Amino acid sequence: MKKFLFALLLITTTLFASNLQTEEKIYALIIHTLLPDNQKIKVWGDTPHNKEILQNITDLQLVESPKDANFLLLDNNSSIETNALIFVTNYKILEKMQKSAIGGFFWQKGRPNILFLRKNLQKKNIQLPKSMQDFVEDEI
Amino acid sequence: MFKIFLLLFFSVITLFASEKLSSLLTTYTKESELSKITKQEAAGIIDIFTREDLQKMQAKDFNDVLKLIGGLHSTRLTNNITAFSKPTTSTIQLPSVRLYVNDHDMSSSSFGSAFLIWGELPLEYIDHIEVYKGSSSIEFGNETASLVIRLYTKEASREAGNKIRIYGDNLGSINGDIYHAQIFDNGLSLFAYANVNNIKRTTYHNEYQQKEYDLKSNRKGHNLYFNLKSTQFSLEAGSYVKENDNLLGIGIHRTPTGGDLDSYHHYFHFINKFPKKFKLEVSYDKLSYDRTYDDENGIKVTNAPLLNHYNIHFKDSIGSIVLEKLFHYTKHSLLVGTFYKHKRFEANGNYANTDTGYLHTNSYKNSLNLYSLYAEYTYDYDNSLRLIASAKGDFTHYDKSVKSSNKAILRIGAIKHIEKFRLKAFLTKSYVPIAFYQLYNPQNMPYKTNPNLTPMNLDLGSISLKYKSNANEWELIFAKNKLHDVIVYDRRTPNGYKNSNKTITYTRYQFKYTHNFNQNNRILLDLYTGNNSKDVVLSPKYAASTQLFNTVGKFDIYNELIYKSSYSCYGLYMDAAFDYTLAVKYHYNKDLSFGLRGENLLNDAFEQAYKNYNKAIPVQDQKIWANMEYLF
Repeated sequence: MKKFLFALLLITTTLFASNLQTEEKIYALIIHTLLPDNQKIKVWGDTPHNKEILQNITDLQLVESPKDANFLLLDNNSSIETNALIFVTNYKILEKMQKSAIGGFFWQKGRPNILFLRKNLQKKNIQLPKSMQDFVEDEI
Repeated sequence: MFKIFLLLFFSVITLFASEKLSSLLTTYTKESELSKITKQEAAGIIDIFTREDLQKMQAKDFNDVLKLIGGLHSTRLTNNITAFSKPTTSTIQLPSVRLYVNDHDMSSSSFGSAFLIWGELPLEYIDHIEVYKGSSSIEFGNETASLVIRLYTKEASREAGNKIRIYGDNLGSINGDIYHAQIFDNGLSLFAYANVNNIKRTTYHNEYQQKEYDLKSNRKGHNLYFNLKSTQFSLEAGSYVKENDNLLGIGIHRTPTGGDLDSYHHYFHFINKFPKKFKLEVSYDKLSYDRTYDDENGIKVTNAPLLNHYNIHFKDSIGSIVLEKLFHYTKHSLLVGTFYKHKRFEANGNYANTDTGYLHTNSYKNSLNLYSLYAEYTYDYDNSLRLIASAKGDFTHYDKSVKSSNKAILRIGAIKHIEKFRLKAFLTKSYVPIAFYQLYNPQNMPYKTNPNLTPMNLDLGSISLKYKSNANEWELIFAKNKLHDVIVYDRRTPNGYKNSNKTITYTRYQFKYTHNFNQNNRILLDLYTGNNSKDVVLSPKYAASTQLFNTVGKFDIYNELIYKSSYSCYGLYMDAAFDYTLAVKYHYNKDLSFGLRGENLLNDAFEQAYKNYNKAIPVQDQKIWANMEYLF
C-alpha cells in the first residue's frame, strides 16, 4: 500500500509539475504552502489573467464571488473586505494593502519579486518553511 | 485513509514547493524575457542578446555587443565611425544595416545609416538587442536593409523604481546613467533615462617628417530618453549629443592637427493602436553632423587645391507616417501597411588652406519624398509549418536633380519544426538604398556625387537548421548574397560614383552552439567564415567567438574570447587576433552590485589596416572598467 501511495504521489507530482506553466507553478506552490491543510481551496481572481491562472491550477476551486473564497489573487482591486488570504500581483496594490495582504508576486526594479509580509503571516498564524524565509520581509 | 493520503499529498507538494520556489523564480525570469515577446522569427536569422546576457557581460555601450555579432567584423573607419565588414570583404555599404530603437528607425538621411552617431550609444536603458540577418525590413514597416538591429528599451511596467549606474576605466573614462520608471494609477507608465559620458580611448601616433601626431578617438556626450505608454498608445522622445575625435582623419599623410565630430540626433515617435489591429505611427527626427578635419600636411578633396582645414555640416530632418493593419483569420495572417517619409537634407561646407589663403564655402540642399506600400502574408499550414510571402514597393521622388526610382522587394520564406529540429529558409529580392551624400552635391565639392545612380539590386538567400534539446542548442547557417549593378567609385569620371555591370556574390557559413550546464551557467560558441566572388581578402576570413556565463553564489562571472584569423590589407599583415574579456560582478544584495570588466586583456584584439597609414590600429582598447549599479 505504501509503495502504491508513493508511486501515486510521484506520478501525480510529476504530472503536476509538467502540466503547468511556470507562473502557474509558482502560484500553486505558494497557495499550497499558505493553505496546506485545505482539501479544496476556494480561490478568486480579480482579472481575467488571474482567473485563468487559478483555473489552470489543479485542486483549486475557482469561485464566482470573493466572499466564497479563502484565497484571493488581486491585481487592481484593493477595496475588498475579506478574511481570506490576499496575495497580489501588482506592487502598487501591495502598497495599498500592506496591512492585509499576505504578500505579492510582481515586477519591480527590472525583476520579478515574490514577497511575504511577516506581520500579516503572523496575524494569520502562518509559518513558512525555512527555504522560503528568504522571501519574507518586514515591510515592502 | 483518504485524509492521510491527502495530507501526505499536500505535504509532499509543499516540500517540493519550498525547495523549488527560488529555482522557479529564476526559470520565470528567463521565460519572461522581453525578447521572447518581441522577436519575429519570420523576419530573418536572429541573434539575441538578452537582458541577462547584457547584465552579466556588464555591457556598457553598443560596441560591446556589435563585436559579438556572428558573421560580421565590427570595425572603425579612418574617422572613427563604427562600420562592419563581412569575412574577407571590405566595409559594407552603410545603408545595408539599419538600427531601430523600439520601432524608431535611427538612420540619418544624409548617410542612410545610424552608426555615424549611434554606433557607441550607452546601453543602460536598453533591455535587449535583436539582430536580424537576411531580412527585408517589411516586418518592421520601414526602409529596407539586409541587416537589421533592433534595440528595445526597458519596460516601465517591469522597472518601477530607479537605477543609478556609474562606471569608469583606467584611462580616465567616466560614465553615469540614471533612470526612473513609474506606473500611474490610471495605467499609464513612464520611463525616463539620462546618461552623461566622457570616454577616453588609447591614443596612437603617426610620425611624418620627424614630427609626431596624435591619433585620438575620445568621445563625450549625453543621451536622454523618455517614454509614456498606455495599452493604447506610446510616446517616445530621444536625444543623443556626441563629440567624437577623428582618429586618423582624412589627410593624405594621416597627420591630424585638430578637428572632431559634433553631432546630435533628436527624435520623437508616437504610436497609437486602434481597435481591430490598426496601427498609426508618426515620428520626426532632427539630426546634425558637423565634421571638421585639420591636417597641416594636406587634405586632398575633389575640385580644390590641397587643404589644411575641412568642415562640413550636414543637417537632416525626417518626418514619417506609418499605417498598418493586421488581418488574422485562423491559419492566415495578412499585414498590410503604407508609409510616407519626407527627408530634408542640407550641407554647408567650409574648405580652406590657411597657408595659401584658399577658402571655398558652399551650401546645398535637397529633399526626398518616399512612399511605400507593403504586405506580408503568413500561413500556418499546421503547428509545425509556417509559410511567409511578402512584397513591398518603394517609390522615391527627389525635389532636385536626382533621378527618381521605383523599387520592389519580394520575399518568401518557410519555417518548419520537426521534433527537436527547426528549419528556416528565406529568399529575398531587394535593393540597397543610396545615401544622399552619394547622390547630390551640385558643385561636386568636396566629393563627387552622381544624381543618376540607381540602387544596387540584391538577391539574398539564407537557410538555417537548428537543433534544440534541454541542455544543447546548435544552429547551422548558410547564406548567399548577390549584389547587382554594383556602385563603384571611379575618380577619373566627373561624377565619381557609377553603376557598373558587375555582380558580386558573397557566401557565409556559420555554426552556433549553446550548452546550458544549468539555469545559471552557459557557454556559447559562434564560428563563421565567408568568401566573395572577387576572391580578395580584405578582412579576416575566419572568426570565432565564445562566451561563458557563470554564476557562483553572489558572483556573476563572464568570459569572452573573440578570434579573427590573420589577413593582409594595404600592404600590412595582421596576425591572428585574440580579444579576451573577463567581467566579474559581485551582488552585495539584490539592489547593489559592484563589477570589474577587463577588455582586450591579452592586448591582441582585432586590428584594422588603413590606407596611407603604416600600422594597423586595434578596434578595441585594452582597458579595465569598474562598475557600480544601485536600484532604489
